[in-house]
Amino acid sequence: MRVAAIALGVLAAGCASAASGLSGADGGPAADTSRGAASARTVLAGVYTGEQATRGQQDFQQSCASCHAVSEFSGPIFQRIWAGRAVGEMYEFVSTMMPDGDPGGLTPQEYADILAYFLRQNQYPTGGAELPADAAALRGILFPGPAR
Amino acid sequence: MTTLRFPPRAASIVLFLVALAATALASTASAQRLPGTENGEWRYPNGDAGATRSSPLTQIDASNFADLQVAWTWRSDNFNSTPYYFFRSTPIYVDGKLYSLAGGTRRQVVSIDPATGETLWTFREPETIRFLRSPRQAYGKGVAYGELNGRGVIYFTSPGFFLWALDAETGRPLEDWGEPVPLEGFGQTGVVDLLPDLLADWGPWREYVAAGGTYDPNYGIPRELGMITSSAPPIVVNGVIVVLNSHQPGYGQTRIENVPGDIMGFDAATGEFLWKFHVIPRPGEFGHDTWENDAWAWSGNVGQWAGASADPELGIVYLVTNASTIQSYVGHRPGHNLFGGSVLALDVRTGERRWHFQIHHSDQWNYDLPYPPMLLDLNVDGRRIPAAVQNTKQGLVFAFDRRTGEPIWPIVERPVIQTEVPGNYTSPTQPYPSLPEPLDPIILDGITDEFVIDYTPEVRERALEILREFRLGGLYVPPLPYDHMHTEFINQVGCQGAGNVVSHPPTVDPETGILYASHRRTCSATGYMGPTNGVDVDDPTYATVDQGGATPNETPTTGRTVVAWAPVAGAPRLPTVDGLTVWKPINNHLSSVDLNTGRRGWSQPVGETPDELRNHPALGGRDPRTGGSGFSIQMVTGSLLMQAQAFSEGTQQIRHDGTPTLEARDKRTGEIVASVELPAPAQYGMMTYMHQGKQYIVVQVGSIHANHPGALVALTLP
Repeated sequence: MRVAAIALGVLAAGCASAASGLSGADGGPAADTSRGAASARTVLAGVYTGEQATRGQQDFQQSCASCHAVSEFSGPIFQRIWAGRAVGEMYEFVSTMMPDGDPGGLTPQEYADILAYFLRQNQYPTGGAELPADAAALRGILFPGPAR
Repeated sequence: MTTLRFPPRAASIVLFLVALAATALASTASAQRLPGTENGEWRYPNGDAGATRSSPLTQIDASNFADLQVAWTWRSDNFNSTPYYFFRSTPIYVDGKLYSLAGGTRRQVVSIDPATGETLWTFREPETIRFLRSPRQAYGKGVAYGELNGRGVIYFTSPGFFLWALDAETGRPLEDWGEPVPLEGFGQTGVVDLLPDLLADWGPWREYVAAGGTYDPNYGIPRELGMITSSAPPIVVNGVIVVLNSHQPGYGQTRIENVPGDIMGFDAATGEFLWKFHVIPRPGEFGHDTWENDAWAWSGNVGQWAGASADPELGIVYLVTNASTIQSYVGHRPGHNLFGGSVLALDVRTGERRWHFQIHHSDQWNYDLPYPPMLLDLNVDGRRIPAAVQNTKQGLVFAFDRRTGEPIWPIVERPVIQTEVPGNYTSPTQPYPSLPEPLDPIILDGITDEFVIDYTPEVRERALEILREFRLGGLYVPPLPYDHMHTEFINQVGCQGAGNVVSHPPTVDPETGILYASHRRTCSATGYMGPTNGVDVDDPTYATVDQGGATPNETPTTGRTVVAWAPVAGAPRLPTVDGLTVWKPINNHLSSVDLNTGRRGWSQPVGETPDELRNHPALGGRDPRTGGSGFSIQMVTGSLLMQAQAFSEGTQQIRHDGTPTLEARDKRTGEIVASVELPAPAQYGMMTYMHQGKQYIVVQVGSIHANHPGALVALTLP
């Protein structure tokens, strides 16, 4: 079996991931199913609001910044790695594996807000509606570009 | 008793070791304590000069522990512009008064009545831009105490990097001490600006001045040169104030230049500068050759944010260091990079190095040392050894003769997986103590067979199938480049055994030589590294006057040259088996290690196994006793091991499950013998003292999830 699940990736460090003995429900290849979905739109369509990203920035500071620099989640290499992959994939990982020591400990809204913050860091456009706190809906929103 | 999952032979060994530990408890009861906790005092934030977080007090014992009541609560929310939910400072108790930092970002110094919690005085440093620039504003861990001609003095270092001496009775800056600071509100005495002495012999600063640059005591070091601040309090030893420092965390930095965290000594009586130890050795100094590429000339950091311990009789101060500038990629500074990631023993009179040991070479894993060496006497094979014991994030425990730095047991250099990121450097080997045993054996070789879940044969087979897709290691597994061409594995997996123990410091019992340490097992696939192409992300809200402080951990980096490679999210992760980690979990355990023999003793879960795991169908109703979320904080008294589940880590506040409690545990078994409720989850530390015939326990508490600001809670008997 070729394992296809994808992580945000944590450097083995003082802040490592997956501490509970129980991780996300996406342990199998499900995380890859959204690639190339015909009906998907991309984050270029304005899928979050500025207010949501600001909330996410605060949440990131409180729950993520002990281990992560926000620069891990933006920039041309980040965008190349995530090209063609779904925001829902990132949501499923973050919401089930993070934060370290308390996986799944934030509310779905807080996880979605943090992802909105990442989108803003990548200068993707804001829109009239917030990024939904719904894994299924987020699987239909892709990062732009062809999958690697 | 033992809750780790061991094969039958190992289990019998553990039982034997527990018996050994009990024997040691009974046979070494005359150990010498370093000064600090005599007469019911707690003179150092970590208890005694040896940072043992222990006290000989016995009034509160197993028979009356459950009767403890809250005597007072000291809340920090009126000392901050908004409620702040962390209280990192552990108070000291000296001469009938408590002294602490107030918790929160302002780092005010407070004196508190030990019986009532009344605030006796406060002191607040005037605001400066250099304070606002500090990424460690809220990280103050306490204050230091000294005496001048019988008069108590409180010493502390501020986020702005000033050293203060305050009259312990009044909180006023000491007269005829230090040098005037030419800034509004600073007055003429009681303070030393630490930057001029730090910068005086630093090459980049001299070049800046030669080019016409001038010193601005309000702003501090120009951003393109660096930024330095402080987290840990100074320590006063034999009339010398040893000043520690810290920087922006390496995982938040993107540029390779910064100011080194050189350690400085000052005269406690006058504030006069005495000496400086170069943590990045200059030409001709020991260790200089561990900085290839001339990186010594512009590399920085190697701060000492974890605090210090001292043996006044030996005249040695013991410190631990952080890594150099930039985590994750060190291609610009190849070599072992002394004295990063090291235990340092300095002559407190001269600042000269007595000995050192580099715990890990060329740190790029955020394995900075999070707690100072713990000093106690051990009885090893009939020899009495004054020891320095170093706990680590990795889960390794190192033990040295603190007079010489000689390892008590051999320390072996083992090969480790090497970096494949173009231009990066990793040390071919890393040090592993043969004894003491690590807190978690998984860190030696990673997820070997004995650590793979085996709740059912099918679960085990699926876990093994997953693991065949990865390259497995223990500690020191480096991240792969994002465009690696491996086809035989999709990523690498490493394991860590303890966690960031600054927020859950260990304790040792000097009477028995037993270490009690919190630990958590984490195995994960590493992230990716990607080239930066010389571009980083700046923060336009970098601190300026009237604009509020820089945000911890997100301060835009200092320096000029963007690092060549940086972490980037998106690497293949380690999948689960129907939600189960492929490795046997230890979420939150408290374990004992007999430092006389180097052998692990008991291991007890802290908190309950998560319901989702305990009720998972694959477990068939068995409880793997993983412990709950968070970590454990602890303290040893003459009669008990006191312990609480803690839910704060760095800037993170973990949701707590159930009622926060303070536990009394049997030192020999780790079993809970009594328990009392706390008004909010504990965090960072606790301390104890005897005041007017009553023993008090003060626990640092706070949680945004409990809507309880950072606070000190004092418990005592009715």
